[in-house]
Amino acid sequence: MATAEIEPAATATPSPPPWTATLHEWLVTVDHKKIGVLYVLMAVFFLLIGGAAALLMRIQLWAPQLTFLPPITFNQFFTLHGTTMVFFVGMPVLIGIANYAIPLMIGARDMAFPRMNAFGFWTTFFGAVLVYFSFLVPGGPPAIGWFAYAPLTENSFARGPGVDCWALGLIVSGIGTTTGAMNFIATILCMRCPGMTLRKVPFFVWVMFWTSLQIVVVMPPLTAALTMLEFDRQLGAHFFDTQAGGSAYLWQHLFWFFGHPEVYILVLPAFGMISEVVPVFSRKVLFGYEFMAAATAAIVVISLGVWAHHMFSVGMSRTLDLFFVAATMLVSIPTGIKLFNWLATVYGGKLVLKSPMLFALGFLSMFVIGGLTGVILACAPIDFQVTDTYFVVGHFHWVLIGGTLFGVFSAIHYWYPKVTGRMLSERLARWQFWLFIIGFIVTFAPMHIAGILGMPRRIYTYGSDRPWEIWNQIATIGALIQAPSYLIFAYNLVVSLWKGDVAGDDPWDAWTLEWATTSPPPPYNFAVIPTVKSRRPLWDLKHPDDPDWKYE
Amino acid sequence: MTHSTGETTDHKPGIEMPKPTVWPMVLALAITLIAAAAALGAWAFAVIGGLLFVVSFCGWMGALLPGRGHESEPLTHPLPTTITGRTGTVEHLQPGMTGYRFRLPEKVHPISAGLKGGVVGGIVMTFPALAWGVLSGHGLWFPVNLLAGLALPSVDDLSVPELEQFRMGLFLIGLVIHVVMSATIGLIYGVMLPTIPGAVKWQIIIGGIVLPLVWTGVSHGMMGIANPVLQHYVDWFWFAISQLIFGLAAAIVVVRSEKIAVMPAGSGTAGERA
Repeated sequence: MATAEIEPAATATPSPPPWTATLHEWLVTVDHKKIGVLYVLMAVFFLLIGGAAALLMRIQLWAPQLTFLPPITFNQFFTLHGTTMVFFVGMPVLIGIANYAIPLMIGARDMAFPRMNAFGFWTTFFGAVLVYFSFLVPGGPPAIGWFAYAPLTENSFARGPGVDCWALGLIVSGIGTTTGAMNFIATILCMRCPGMTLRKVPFFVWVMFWTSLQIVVVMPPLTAALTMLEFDRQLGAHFFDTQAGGSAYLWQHLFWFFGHPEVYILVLPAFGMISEVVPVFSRKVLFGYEFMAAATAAIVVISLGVWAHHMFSVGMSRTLDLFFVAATMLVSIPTGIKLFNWLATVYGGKLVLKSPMLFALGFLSMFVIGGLTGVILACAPIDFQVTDTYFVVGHFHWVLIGGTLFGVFSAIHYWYPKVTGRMLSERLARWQFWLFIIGFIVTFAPMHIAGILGMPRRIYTYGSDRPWEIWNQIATIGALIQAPSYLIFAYNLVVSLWKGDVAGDDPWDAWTLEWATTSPPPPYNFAVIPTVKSRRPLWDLKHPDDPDWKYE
Repeated sequence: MTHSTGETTDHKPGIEMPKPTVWPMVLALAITLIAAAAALGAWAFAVIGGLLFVVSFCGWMGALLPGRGHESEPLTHPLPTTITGRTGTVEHLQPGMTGYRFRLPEKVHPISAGLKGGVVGGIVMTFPALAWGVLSGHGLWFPVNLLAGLALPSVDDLSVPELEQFRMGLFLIGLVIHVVMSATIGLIYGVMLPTIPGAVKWQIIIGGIVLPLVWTGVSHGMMGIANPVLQHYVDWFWFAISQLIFGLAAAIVVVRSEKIAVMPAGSGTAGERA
């Protein structure tokens, strides 16, 4: 075995660099770990902003005919809330965690294109800044919903430049997302350490590979649609201008061709994170890796053909309705396979109920409910009844919070010790978990009932003769229960940096390569590039009498 | 896992890593300024953005020249803790040990048994369903067309005389729904019934009576949402009879099939002792 020469570490503690030097270091960094942290910090920042907007909307809906928020402000808030949570919280946090973890997990020193990696982050960030710059323009932010249905986005209905800031901001951040995805594909295909064939990559890596492929396929149609919209608004084209022969229907197809796979882009990485956490905290190998891998590919492929289930009520042909009902039902099968495999991994295991596992179990229980309401909505006749009601709002929050956010919290609690060298406070994490899950259920379960009772989504108030008040009040109470959980999370992230217990290199007794280096890892990740023989290289080292490679 | 060298050579003091650079951030800022110019019509932004674009692009390309974009990262960081092996800590589950096979049966019905059960159940349940159509005066095709309403909202718009006629499209869709649901539930029976403890009669009672009644109850509650037209016209007595006949037929076919042994566990790691 060849060795690298290691210089002894300095024994005296150096004085901290001035803050300007630290700021400069972070602004010019091309290190995948720092860029990953920047993505996550950006997401946490926007999570607090988007969450605050949600809270204000919930207060507005507390009782009929409230005037806490003016109608236009309410519309602007729900537009920015949706846009922020999808583009500036969901995707950045997932890409950020993957940015940090993937090179470490595959035994690489960095991403394939480190400078492009930095470019990806900064375009995402500046794109968000441009969207929020709309607060400073005449007319303020857009009031079009995150899906921006035409023709409400045309000049006739949205005269200020807020919509332009929104559209161009998303185009800019889309450049960052696409470059990030291409970087992941190149990194995973070309930078794996010796011995790590594609069949032996950690499951999170496999999932990110397929998610990246999906991003590369679906982001261009969104960019094209947004460019066409700007052509309409700035250059007098009529792609979506229905009064001049354009088609609002075309916008819906283009948007949802991106928009529905986007749900999987947001939830698949969480699947990967859970697939790392659940085995470690069940002290068992991931059940059915091959089936899980095939199910991931199946989800990506099938989900490219389900977008128009968002459009049943538009009035498509019977053939199209049938096709999209069938395709949507079909995608639940590989998703179900994954769920059963996670349960089979947990089953019979020696569970360690630390905070990452708590959030993982929260994911398992909550996501399945969001998935089931998705199957219900996939049935066109039901969709006809509840389309554009709060049932749909309840459903997709149950998927994106019950799925993505629980997965993300699980991953952050899992990898925080590696990133910082410190443990998060377990006590605070448990407070966060219980407030979060209780608040989450209390917020979003009543929305399903309000939706079945006919409450349309996107309304800023409602009449007192409607039977919706109690359900809105319960939902608002839930939001107030949830809110402190996010603050506790942010507080825990910051305080544990200084006061957390020292983590050590491998605090969870885990099995993938990132735990084989120091916490935090050095800039080059590994002094020497490891060679692996199985999917759990650290298991092989820890259990030389029974290594995994005998069975794989 | 073993270690091997990457780019590191034994002759260099450090590891070559990409040098930090400001140009990716400046290029991103340039593109954003150009976009902002388009959004706001403020062309000064475009001029500044354009200049920054050119400068940052050239700076970035310069970093790609040989010897310009990398630096040697000194190996001053502490080494990770050496991972030591813990022999004798893995326990394999063996036949006869507590937890072996957990609660899964060692012999199961083949998948084909579930499919056969579903097919047989699907065939026999059509008799009461069609009989109801004839006896109610609506004719054979009425229940078929109603079933198609599960997938086609437009069935709602058809009048009763139209629902009584043979309609090829609705027939094919109804047929597909019926076959898929029968086969799926048959497969579930194939997997689930062997796990029910006790004598075979309990498998038949649960699969043939309890589950169809539960299914009928759920359908009664939900059908108004899933298939309003079926909810409007269906006779729940006949509906329940159809489900019971399906359940009994499928359960009997499944439990009468010959069980096959499943590959025993014991190959591979079951878990850690501690």
